Amino acid sequence: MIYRELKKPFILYLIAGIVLSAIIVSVIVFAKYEKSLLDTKNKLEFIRINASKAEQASIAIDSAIKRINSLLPSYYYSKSHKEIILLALDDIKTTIRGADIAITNFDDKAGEMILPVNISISVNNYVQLVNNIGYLQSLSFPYFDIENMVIENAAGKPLGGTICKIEGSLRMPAERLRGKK
Amino acid sequence: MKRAVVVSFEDEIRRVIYAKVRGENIIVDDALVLKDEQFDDFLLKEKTKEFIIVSSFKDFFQETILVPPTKKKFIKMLLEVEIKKRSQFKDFSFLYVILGEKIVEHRRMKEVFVFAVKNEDIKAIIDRFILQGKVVKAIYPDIFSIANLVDSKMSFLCISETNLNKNMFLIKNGAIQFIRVVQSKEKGIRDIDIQSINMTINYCRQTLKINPDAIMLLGSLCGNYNVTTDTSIPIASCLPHRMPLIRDGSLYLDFNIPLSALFIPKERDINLLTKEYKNLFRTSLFLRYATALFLALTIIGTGYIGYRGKNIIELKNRLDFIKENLPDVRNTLTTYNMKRIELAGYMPFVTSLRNAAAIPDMRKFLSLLSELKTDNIRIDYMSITTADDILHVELKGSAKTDDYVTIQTHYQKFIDSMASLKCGIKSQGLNFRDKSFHVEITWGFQKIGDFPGRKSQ
Repeated sequence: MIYRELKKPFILYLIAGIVLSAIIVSVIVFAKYEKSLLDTKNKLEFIRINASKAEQASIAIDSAIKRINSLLPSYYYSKSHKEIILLALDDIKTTIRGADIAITNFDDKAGEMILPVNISISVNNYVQLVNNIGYLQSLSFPYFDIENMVIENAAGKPLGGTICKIEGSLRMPAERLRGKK
Repeated sequence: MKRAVVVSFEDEIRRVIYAKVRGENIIVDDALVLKDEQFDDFLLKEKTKEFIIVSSFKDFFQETILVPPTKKKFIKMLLEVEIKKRSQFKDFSFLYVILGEKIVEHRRMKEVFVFAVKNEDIKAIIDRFILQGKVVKAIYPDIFSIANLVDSKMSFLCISETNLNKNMFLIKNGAIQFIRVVQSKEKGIRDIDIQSINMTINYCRQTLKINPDAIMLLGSLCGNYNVTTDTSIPIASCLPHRMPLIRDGSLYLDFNIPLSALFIPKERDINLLTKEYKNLFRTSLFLRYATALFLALTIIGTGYIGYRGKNIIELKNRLDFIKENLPDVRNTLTTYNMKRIELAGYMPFVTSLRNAAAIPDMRKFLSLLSELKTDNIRIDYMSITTADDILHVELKGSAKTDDYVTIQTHYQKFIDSMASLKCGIKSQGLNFRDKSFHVEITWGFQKIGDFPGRKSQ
C-alpha cells in the first residue's frame, strides 16, 4: 500500500493543523480579551471623568450655597417671613425720608410671599428721586418689584413740586429655605 | 525561476543534474554521476523534494498496432487489450503515438506505435524515492526523452547508448515509429555496430516502408565513433542548436539523457507515472504545502498574539493605574447627590433672585431721561409700568412758547432725543390748539437695532 508513505506527512499536517487551530482560537480569545479590557478602560476613564466632574459640581454647589447664604439677611432663620418683609419696609421708610407708605395685606402668589406697597414721594430733587428708585431696586431679599410709577404735578404745580407715586410689592420666597441654620 | 533535479537511470549508472528553468532557458548548476549503490545514500542526504526521472527500461514492449478509427479513450482501451494480448504483460504502463491511417483489407485503420513497460519496473525505481520521502514528478523512458532533441520533419534513424546497448529508433515527423535495442561488445560506434545499423535501415525500408534520410548519433556516441566501413545513408551527430552555450561539450554529451528531460514540451505526454503514483505524489505535495502554509500562519498568528499580548499588558497596567487613582466614586456621588438636594432647597430663593433681576432697571431709565432735550418743553405727567422685562412709559406735557415753529422744532428735538436714548416710540402727538403733547414709549434691555418697541418716525 503506497499510501502508507503519506503517514508521516499526514501526521505533520495534522499537528500543524491542530497548532494552527489553537493559534487561531488564541488570536480570537486575545482579541476579545483586549477589546473587553479596552471597554473596561474606557468605562473606568468615563467614571473617573464623571467622578471628577461630580466633585467639581459639588464644590460649585457649595460655593453657590455660600453665596446664597451671604445674600440672606443674618436674621433669616431667626425671624418669620412676615417679620423679614416688615423689617425691609421699615428700612425703606427710614431710607426714603418723607415717603408716605401705604400697605395692604400679605398675599401668597406663585410661591412668593407678597406685601403690596404704595409709596408717595414728594419730588424736590430729580437726582434724589433717581437714587430712591435705585435703592428700592437694590433690595434683594426681599426684593422690591415696582409695577407702576407715576410722576405728576401735585395739584397743578410745575415739575419742581411734583409727586411720585410708586405701586409695587415686597416679595420673597414663601417657602422657608431648607439650608443650614 | 523553477528549480529542477533530473535523475537518469542508465543501467548501473545514475546521472543527476541540478538545473534552473526560466521560461525557455535552462541553467545547469551542477551534475553528478553516481553508482547504483550510492544512490539511496544520495537520496537520503539530498534536500530536494521533487525529482524528474529518465529511465532506460531493459524490458519493454514496442509494436505498431492497427486499430479501427474511434475516440481517443476507446483507442487507449483497445491498445491496452492488444498490448496485454501481444506482450503477455499483466500490469503495465504504456505510451502510444498515432502515426497515421492505413487501408487494410478495404478498411481504414489507425496505425499506432505503442511502448509499454511493466509497472513492477517502474515501481522498483519510484519506491526508492518514496522510501526517502521524495516526490517523483514524472518518469520518462530515455528513448522518448532524448527523441525530443531531434526536432525535424525528416526521418532519422537515431542511435543512443545505454552502457553497452545501442538504442536505435526511427523518428519521422517528430514521432517515434520503431525502436530496436542492440547489444554491443564495447562502447561507442564500431564496425560491428555499422552492420547492425545497416540491417536496421534495411528493415525500415522493407518492413516499415520508411526510408531514413540520415543516421543521427545522440549523446556520448557523438564523441566515440571509430569505424572503417560506411553506412548506406549519411550520418550526423546531434548537438542541438538550442544549447549553444555549453562550456564543456563532452559534459553535455554525457548528460544528454537527463538534460533532454528538461526539453520535453508540456503537451507531449510521455510520463509513465501511474495514476496511483500521481495521486500519491499530488496528495503528498498537498500535505507538504498545506503543512508549510499552516506553519507560516502559525508563525504569523504567534506574532499577532505577541503583539496583542503586549497591548493587553499595557492596557492592564493602565487599568491598574486608573483603579489606583480612581476617587471613591460612591462617596463622591453620595456627596454630589446630597449637595444637589441641598441646592434644591435654595431654588425658591434662586427663583426669587432671578425674578428680581428680571425687572428692568428703572433707575437707569430715569437717569437717561435727564438727557432729553426739553427746551421749551414741559413734562407734566410721567407713568412707568413694568411688563415683560420692558418699561412702558407714558409722557404728557406742553410747550412753553407761543411761536408755532419753535413749538414744532423743539418738540421734534424732544422726540429725536428720545429716539437717541434707544426708546421705542409707540405713539406721539402734538396738539397746537392747547400746545399739549402726548408720547408713549417703551424701553428695555434689548440690543441696539433689535428693539421691539421702536418705530420709525
